Amino acid sequence: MKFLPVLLNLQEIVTAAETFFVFPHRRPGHGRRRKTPAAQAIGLLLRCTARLVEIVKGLKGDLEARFPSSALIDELKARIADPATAGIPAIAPAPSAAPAPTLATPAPAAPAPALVPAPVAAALAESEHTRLSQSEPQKKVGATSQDESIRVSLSRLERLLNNVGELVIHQTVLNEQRAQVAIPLVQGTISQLAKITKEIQELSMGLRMVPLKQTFQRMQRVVRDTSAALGKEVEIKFSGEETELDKTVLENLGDPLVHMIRNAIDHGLETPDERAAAGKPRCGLVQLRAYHMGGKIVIEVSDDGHGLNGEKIRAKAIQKGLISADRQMSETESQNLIFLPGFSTKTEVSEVSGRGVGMDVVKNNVETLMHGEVQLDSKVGRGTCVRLLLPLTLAIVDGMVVRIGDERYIIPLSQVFESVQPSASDVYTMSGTSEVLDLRGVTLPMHRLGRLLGRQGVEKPPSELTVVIANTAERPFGILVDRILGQQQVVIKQLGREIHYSRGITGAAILGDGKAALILDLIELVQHKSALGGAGQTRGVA
Amino acid sequence: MSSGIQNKHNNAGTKKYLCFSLGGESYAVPLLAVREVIAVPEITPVPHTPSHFLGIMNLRGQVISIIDLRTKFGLKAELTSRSAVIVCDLSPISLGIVVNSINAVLSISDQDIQPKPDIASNKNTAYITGVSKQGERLVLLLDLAKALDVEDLVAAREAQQAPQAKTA
Repeated sequence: MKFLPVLLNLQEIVTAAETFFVFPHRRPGHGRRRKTPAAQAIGLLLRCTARLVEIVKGLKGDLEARFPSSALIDELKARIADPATAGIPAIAPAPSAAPAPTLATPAPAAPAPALVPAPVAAALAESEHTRLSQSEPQKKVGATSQDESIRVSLSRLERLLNNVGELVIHQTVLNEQRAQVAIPLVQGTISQLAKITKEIQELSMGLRMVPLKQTFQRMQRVVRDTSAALGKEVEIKFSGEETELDKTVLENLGDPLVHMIRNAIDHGLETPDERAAAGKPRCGLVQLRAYHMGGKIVIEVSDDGHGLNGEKIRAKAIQKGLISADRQMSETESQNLIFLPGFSTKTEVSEVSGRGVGMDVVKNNVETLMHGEVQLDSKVGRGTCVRLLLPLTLAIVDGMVVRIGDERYIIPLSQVFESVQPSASDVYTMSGTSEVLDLRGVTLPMHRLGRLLGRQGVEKPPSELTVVIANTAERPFGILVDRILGQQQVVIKQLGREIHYSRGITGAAILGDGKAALILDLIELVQHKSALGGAGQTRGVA
Repeated sequence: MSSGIQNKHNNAGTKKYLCFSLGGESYAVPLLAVREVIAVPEITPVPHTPSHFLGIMNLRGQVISIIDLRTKFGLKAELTSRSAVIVCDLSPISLGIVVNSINAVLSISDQDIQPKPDIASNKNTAYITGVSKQGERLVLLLDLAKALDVEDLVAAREAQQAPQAKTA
């Protein structure tokens, strides 16, 4: 469904062709061609394309007025199939070369896809986003965007960020030593340098941030297509399009967002008749909002549909065998069942949704790829709101720095539920070696981080150590570490491909003193250990 | 046998090599593969890695793996004040290699490079592309990518990840 960019591109072709063929006197040495049959044929073709341009304008207007565009697309298809306009592909190469003879020969009726020649399609793919984001003429957009931004490769940006990180570390060292310097000029310079360093750091971290606008604009099409397919009237409202998000987060956001919007239209909104019966306006409202909240970005998709009926969802889940029938649940708990894999409230499978692949995928994507969370807020009869809480960036993680022996490791704070200092009476041993912790009446298995990482050394009794309780949904467990050194934000660095490390290590980070430390994934580490049995400890030491 | 050494004026086949010692032996790598030479930094060990894999280091914000070729070659590994790390660019990865000492940068003409002596018993010879006599010393030319099993390492890592991806 790329009619809009295709048609916008046609406009360009027309302009180029016009200057090339219709006004040949403007090009030196080509004046004599003005009256050739080729030029006349081109003139005819141009009138055909001019008509398409009118449709483009109509379509653009349509987009702004938001009236159903499926009919128009059909109209466009019909017009493309029309032999009168079939000759269009022949002009496409015109701006680059001067193939007047080929143009004069009658072109065979081209099928609709051939409307866009390959090079044009490539150019389209590149500039599609700019065009979609602005409904102004293309030329103007190109001119302004060139002035405002440049493209920089991500690897270059990463190198810059690496060096800025290093600058900050050295700056910290310098700042600490400032008091020992007696010369006021040096002292002043150091403090000045500190300010500039801070600003450079902030600026460079912001370089990865991209506004949400383009992603939101893309959703407009999703709404249009979905509502047309379902025969529902939908109005979409955006807010917070200027909110900025890390590019890597943004790249992963598109698919979940499409899912959520389709869900909102298909499952959330009623048909126009049902809406009218319920005393609501016939046209449903879907809102897409983005805003900052407590150091996170919130993306919200809400509809004013019938909301989630907890009872119905529960019944469905029992019917599908996802939960047992005798389980008692609160309304919110029942509503959250929609995140179970294989769940769908729709009885019949439609083209749009109801295939049981949906919210669980969204939840999974958001949690694993973006380290975010999904919240659900729904009132029967009033509507549903799905909220994504996303970190500002994937490049930085809040970490807890722990020590075992003389090694330091970083545990993402999102994986830490709490940390406790166990007393000897709370720790029990099971079958000789496994240790369990009695935490306020709940028994938790404990793993020694040193053992998980295959480290040898004298092991202290648990009462002299600290337990980090991992934040898992299923089986909670504790990790024994020597000490917790503190919490800090670290920039994640990918390890080289040469390290065939085992699971459980997600990357590395540079600590405040300039030394590298590994970032652990506790859950993976423990899963890996239990999968391997005891073998995990000896592996790789050879 | 005696040819070549005097042909210093022939620049076409001359390349620069960084000469260093590992244990008691002299080795050389093409200078173009060397990114920089640094003092031995603080190294963070990585669990579940072979013993010649010393760990990771911070090179101006970039995390780079450090490998001790001496352990890999079965030579005695010790750190002294002359020890250094050569950071090499081995596409697709950058690696640091701990060496006993950095000796010199040599210009060696292709004609001065002789095929390696055929000693089947020595397991290291596969990494050696040739030898060159420099004065009193015999310099062994090292193929770093082969010595470090870059392909093996990358392949091993990918092979290890593939079943993980399935189970995940």
